Amino acid sequence: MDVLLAGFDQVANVTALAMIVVGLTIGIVIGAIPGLNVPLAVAIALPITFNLNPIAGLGMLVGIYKGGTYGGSLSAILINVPGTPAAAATALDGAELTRQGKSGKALKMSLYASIIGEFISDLALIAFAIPMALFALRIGPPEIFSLGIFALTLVGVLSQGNMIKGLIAGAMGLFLSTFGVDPLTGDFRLTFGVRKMAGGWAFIALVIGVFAVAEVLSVLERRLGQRPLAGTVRLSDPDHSLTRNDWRRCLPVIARSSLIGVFIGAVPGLGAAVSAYLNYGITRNLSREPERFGKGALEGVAAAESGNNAVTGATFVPLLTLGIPGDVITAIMLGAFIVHGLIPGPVLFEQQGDFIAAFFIMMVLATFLHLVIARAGMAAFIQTTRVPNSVLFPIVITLSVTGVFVSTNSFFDIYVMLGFGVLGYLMKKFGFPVAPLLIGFILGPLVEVGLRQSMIMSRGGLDIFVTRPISAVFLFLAVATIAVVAWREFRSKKTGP
Amino acid sequence: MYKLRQTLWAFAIVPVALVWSVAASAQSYPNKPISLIVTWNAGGSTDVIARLLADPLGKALGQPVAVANRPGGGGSLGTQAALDAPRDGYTVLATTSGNHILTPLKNDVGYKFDDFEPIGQLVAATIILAVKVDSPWKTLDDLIKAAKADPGKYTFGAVPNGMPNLTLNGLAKEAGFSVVHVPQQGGAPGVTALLGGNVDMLPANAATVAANIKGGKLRGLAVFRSDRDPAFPNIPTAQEQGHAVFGSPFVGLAIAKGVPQPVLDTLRAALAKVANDPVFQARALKTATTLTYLPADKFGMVWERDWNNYAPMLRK
Amino acid sequence: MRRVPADAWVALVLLVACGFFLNDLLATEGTGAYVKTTTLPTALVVVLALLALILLGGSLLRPAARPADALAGAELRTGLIRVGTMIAWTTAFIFALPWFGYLASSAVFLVGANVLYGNRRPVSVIAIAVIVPVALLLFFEKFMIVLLPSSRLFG
Repeated sequence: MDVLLAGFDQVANVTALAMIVVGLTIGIVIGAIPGLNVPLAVAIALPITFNLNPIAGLGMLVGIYKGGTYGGSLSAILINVPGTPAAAATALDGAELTRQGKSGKALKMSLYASIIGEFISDLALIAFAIPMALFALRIGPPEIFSLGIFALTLVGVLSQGNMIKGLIAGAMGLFLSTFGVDPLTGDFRLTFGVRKMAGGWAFIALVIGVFAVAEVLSVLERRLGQRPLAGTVRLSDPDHSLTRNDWRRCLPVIARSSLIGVFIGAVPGLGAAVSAYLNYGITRNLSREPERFGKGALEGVAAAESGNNAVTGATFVPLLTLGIPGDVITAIMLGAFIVHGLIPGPVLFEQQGDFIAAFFIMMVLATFLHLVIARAGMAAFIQTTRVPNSVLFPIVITLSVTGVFVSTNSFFDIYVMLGFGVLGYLMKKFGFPVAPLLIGFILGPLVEVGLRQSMIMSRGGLDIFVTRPISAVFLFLAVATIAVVAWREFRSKKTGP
Repeated sequence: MYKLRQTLWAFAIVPVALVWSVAASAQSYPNKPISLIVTWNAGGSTDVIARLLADPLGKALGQPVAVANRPGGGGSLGTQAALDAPRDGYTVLATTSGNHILTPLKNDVGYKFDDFEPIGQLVAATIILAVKVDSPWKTLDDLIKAAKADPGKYTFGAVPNGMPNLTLNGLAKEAGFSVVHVPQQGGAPGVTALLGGNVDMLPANAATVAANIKGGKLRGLAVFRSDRDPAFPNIPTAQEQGHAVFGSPFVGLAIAKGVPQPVLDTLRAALAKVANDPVFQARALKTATTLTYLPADKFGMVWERDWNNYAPMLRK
Repeated sequence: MRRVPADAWVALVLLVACGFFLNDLLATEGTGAYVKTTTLPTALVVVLALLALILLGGSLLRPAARPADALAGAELRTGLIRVGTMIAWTTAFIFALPWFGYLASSAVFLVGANVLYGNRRPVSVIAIAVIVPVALLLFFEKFMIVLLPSSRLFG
């Protein structure tokens, strides 16, 4: 108990609280602005934390992380351009709700789902860190491969009604992820002698191109210069409020997605985007009215947002217990720990209880402050729906170009972004869903590395994927998902268009 | 006549201005911010050192130093970018064994180690061969005996063609055993693989395994340096145990050849000043990386030594 | 002569692209144990080609109806011209960045982009073209200490 009090002491000072608030605000803004990259913001904020005390410094970085993961949903919902890759799944239904004039509902559900997911994640971290870490260690290459395959079946889920094109998009995404350097041998692959291609396609160039630039071009084609809404948008309007029915539908979804998100966060190497898409797909697949998804189903927003924010607390499990960062952002935060002489790992966890207690308290506090700040800012955010596209979208392109340059320092990559923008625009034009492209691109390396490492471990035998129980479970889930998707597709073809 | 006079004067200004600006920029280097290219992702060990360095180095130079991450291609993209930039001293490269020596030896990346001028070395990291604490191997000898008895049975994790990988290959060749390489995507995934029992041993940068060795989850069997690492006094060197195998990834600063000598001197002096500053040293020490400053000429010799050492292993 | 549906053209382009990549992959020497460097990409290209064939077949045998809100005729043409212009304009912007620096390039770009989108109010256009680049420059170079492209012509 006194460990807890000692920890509380460290957190309850003005600097720490101020830093958390600053971090959250920066995070939400950077997450919301398409083109600006949250990991880069954390990397840049890193040196600022060197001069602060550890909890205050980490509080700021955690604030940027939590705020940033949520912030992406703002632009995803309001202008159909996800601010972060993790928010791409939110845009599927969120933007549609805005088109129906119900942006307030989407924004509110996005925030509440995110906060609940975050909170559950924080609790899981505090209560179950060590058992989760031990479980996470059992996820080896065969399990990663099978999980990746399961996640890929979502491509099928998301392509319902448009199966061939969706599969093509997914296969394209997978294929694009193989360009550059072979992750296991270091050989150059598909570079066509162009040295700049040695890095493969820059992820940020692909995401911003395919979502932001493509959207900008699509809107331009139709000359939707003005936005239909006029007058102040009030969050208390019935169109923008959540009803009991909305909550009844969404709460079970949030609970399930949060738990799945916590699991994904605890396994190093997966990340918030995978969680968002996985949860969206699972929710859609399990729903009794799957045809509502993509047309403004609030559950879709709830699933994606609670899924991606539930990753934030759990990613600290491998970091704090074993010193292994779970994703790009925690890898950067590892630097912050180290500079203060705190080496995350078993020693820290067992011997510096008061720091760990302070850290946990800070996480929960950050979640609470997140709710307050974001809810307060919502009335302001929602007014962006009144800004005409003719003003907004040129700024979006400028931000995209700037954002890619700041992240990659490469003009080649900005051209790549533009190229992907054209690709995304053409895909939309010819009826190809864009989400599977992103999913394939993210999951490609996971699946390939998992497969090849497993084959080396098993000396060429395929049985390793089914003899290891966890891997077998994922493969079974994959087969089950394909079965459900195939059955639904078959049934809808039978009943006719 | 009047207009012609005026025009002539106007033209005279041009060469004066040019000479003035050239002279000014040469004398007052640096007079604008400097870009420090890191060829690996943000948050990695090189990036942490670079960001730790940027602030004091900027103060020593009188202009801010901005870290720019340019990952990709095994470090070749960032390295090439440092060569493509104008040779005016405003683009410095945070260079490591990986991008400077190993990648150009293995792949056709269009540059060699001596396309750069050394500024100074900051870090010479320690490589540790680690196993799980519950492994039956308590010493390096146990491991070698077991591996010799069952060739190809045991696996090790390492980033392909990185220094730890090549060092273990060197050990295997010298001691005469054979183990299977399971390529990893980085230091941290390697630790995960070892802890999860998916590989039997892990040669790794000390910084990656320090936490778990100190925490009792991993055991270090050997270090590959000429003397024991002060941070791990209980881990004997490979040489002590009868196998003279060495490997030490470096991190340092470099700049493209062709930069004017005064600029080079300024940079070298600034780095020396920062590296010898106790405040900076104390900070760097906390990152569990061995701070081993070497001035430019010695750093250049390290490059040559490593290039010649690893060429036969990597060149096809 | 029945019009070839759009999907069929897309499928054909895909098939050509697959052929191009397959050619490069088969010529590359794959390294690696059990599953080689080129195995997965080649498999993916083959899958893509098969899917493209199915798409081709499907579109020729069962042409899909045009969606109700699709643009057509003159409207479509002006829309496409706008998109093409924006792509070219953005390319020019990226090209200009290293030569004219960030401020100048983005200001000029924003003016053009606003006009393309239909913003005809000069005050608004100029304001955006000035405020946005300056704000971004301050934010990145002063606040985040990340360098934006500086001009090679004017330093």
